Amino acid sequence: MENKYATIDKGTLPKIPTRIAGLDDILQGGIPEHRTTIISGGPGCGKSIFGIEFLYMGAKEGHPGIYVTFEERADAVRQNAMTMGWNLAELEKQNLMFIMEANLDPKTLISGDFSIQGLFTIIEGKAKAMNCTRIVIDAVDILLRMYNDFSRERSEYYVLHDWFSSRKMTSIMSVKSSQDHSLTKRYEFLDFMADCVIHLDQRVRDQISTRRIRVTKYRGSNFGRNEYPYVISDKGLNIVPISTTGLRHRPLGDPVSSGNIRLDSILGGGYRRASCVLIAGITGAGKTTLANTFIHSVCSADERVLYIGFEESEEAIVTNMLSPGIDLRPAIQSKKLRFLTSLPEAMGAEEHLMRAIDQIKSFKPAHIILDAVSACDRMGSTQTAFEYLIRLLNYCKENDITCILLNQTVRAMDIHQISGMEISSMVDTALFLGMVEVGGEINRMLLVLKSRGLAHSNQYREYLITDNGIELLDVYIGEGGVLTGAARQEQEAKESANQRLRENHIILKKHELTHKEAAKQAKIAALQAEIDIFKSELDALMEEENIWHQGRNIRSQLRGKAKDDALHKLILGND
Amino acid sequence: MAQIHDNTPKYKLKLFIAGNEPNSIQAINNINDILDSRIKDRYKLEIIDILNDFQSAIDHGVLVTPMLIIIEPLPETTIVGTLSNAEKVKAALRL
Repeated sequence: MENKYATIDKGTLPKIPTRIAGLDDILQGGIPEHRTTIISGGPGCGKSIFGIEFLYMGAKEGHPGIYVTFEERADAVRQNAMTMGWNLAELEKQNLMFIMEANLDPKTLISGDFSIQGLFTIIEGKAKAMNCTRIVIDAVDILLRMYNDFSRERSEYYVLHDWFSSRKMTSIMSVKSSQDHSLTKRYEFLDFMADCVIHLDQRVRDQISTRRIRVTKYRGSNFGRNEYPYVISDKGLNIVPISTTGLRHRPLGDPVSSGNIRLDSILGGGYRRASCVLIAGITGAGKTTLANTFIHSVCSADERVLYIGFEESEEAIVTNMLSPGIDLRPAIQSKKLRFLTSLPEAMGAEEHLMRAIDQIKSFKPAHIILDAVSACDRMGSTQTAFEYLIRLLNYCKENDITCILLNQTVRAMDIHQISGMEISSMVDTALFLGMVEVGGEINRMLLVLKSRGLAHSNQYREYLITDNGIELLDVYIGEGGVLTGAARQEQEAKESANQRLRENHIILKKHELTHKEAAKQAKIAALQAEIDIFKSELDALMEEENIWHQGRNIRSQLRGKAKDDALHKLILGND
Repeated sequence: MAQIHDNTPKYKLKLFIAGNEPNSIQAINNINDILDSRIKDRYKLEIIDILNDFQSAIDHGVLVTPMLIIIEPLPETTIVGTLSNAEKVKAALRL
């Protein structure tokens, strides 16, 4: 970092890096050397930590420092520092740190004029002994308030300021600011006299605190003029400066598959690497499924994904994704997928941001999923959510990380709402998942609103969430645009009506023929039966006739054939 | 209570000064006047120049000068300033 600012330092103002994460970027190198820096802020915003961190970081590099505390006991300072992992006692032993407990007994009586020569003497004595040029006074307003005289406070501060400058000491003095404007105004002169002024601010909005840092003055140097969020983490003060050059747009990377071949073709190849993809839609539209389709695909290709979830727990997501056939467990086991889930309300936006960036730094994902943009509002206000997103997206862009943002929209088909949080300008690819009610049923619809740098389809697609993930159906271009569900089926039915009619006709004819054949057979059978009956009747009659003839012969035999013959002879002539 | 040992210094004081700073000179003069007029020979006043002894300034938390610490009688009382208000100083000494 020293090299980074080496050119700035030369010929201009010598600076001392604070080594406080992010701050040196804002200060373009550090605080002014041999000069006074004022840190102002309300209670609990980290003024003391600021001072201790500066001295600790310096001491670790071999620059001794003196810390004068007016508010806390030296032991308390050591303890507080220890919670950040800073062992001040160790540094004190090495003569790199001196904590001076300057507790003014409130019972102290005042009689006549006095000066802060005692303080100077102690500092000077210690500074000489330690060869130290770094001083932190926490808090200078307490020292000055002893005088209880506004003009005297002013002149004494000037003495203090001058004293440090003349001895080439680099000092940081903290001063309380508060809602009480009379108090803030009382110490306003400090801002005028100091060479560098840094304001720390802690605001509580909707029960969530957000911390901001702002440099309001820097004599002889340029500086980042914005308000920057910061957090007090377990490693000290962490400031997140958004790149002072503004949002740097890097060229988008190669397309990477969304995990669904059909969607890739609609998108013109897939999502672009290092781009920002927004998947918006109402609850149950399948945003998470679509995102996890992507996760499953890239994790299988050995790429890392960080899932920042504000809606569901890791277990819930993993379980829910089993239903559309997406098993995330192998990706988690192989450490390709990491979850960072928390409730948006659990902490301020800055802390959320720091946690996310910490994870990105340590895990180095190629892609992140943010579920969901809409939940970020609950970190505080829309403004804090916006800043959280902008900073996170910016960080990802600068580090070539793909961001898949999920956003829940309230209404089913509201295109204006889908970008959410005014981040639409940062979005490279926007997908909208909607549900439309047609003919009494709900159908899922997907629309690619934007796919920067890629030729993409702008048609609505119907899709289904099946046991095997998301399935996109063929686009149907009818007279009335895209048709879905039953309406689509109806149209398709109409299309095939003639064919079906013809088919039916043939079937009908075939059936008729079969019937006729059957009828013929039946008739044949009937006739045959008649014939058979006839035959059998005939047989019976013939049989009867035979029997009758046989009977007559027997009867004639019985009557005597001879008598008959003789009679016959008689009648016909006597031979 | 009757005073048993008149010669035993009943009053034990420490005055911290910073060289020949006008405030410090005034404080020395003022405290000597008060003590000599009221409890002559019954006090022990130690004048410490912190410019020569910054360690005792650290030890006693002397941030401002001049500073008078009344060690005895108890409770220990601190008065800062030139001690120009004799009544206030006497009250602190319970005189």
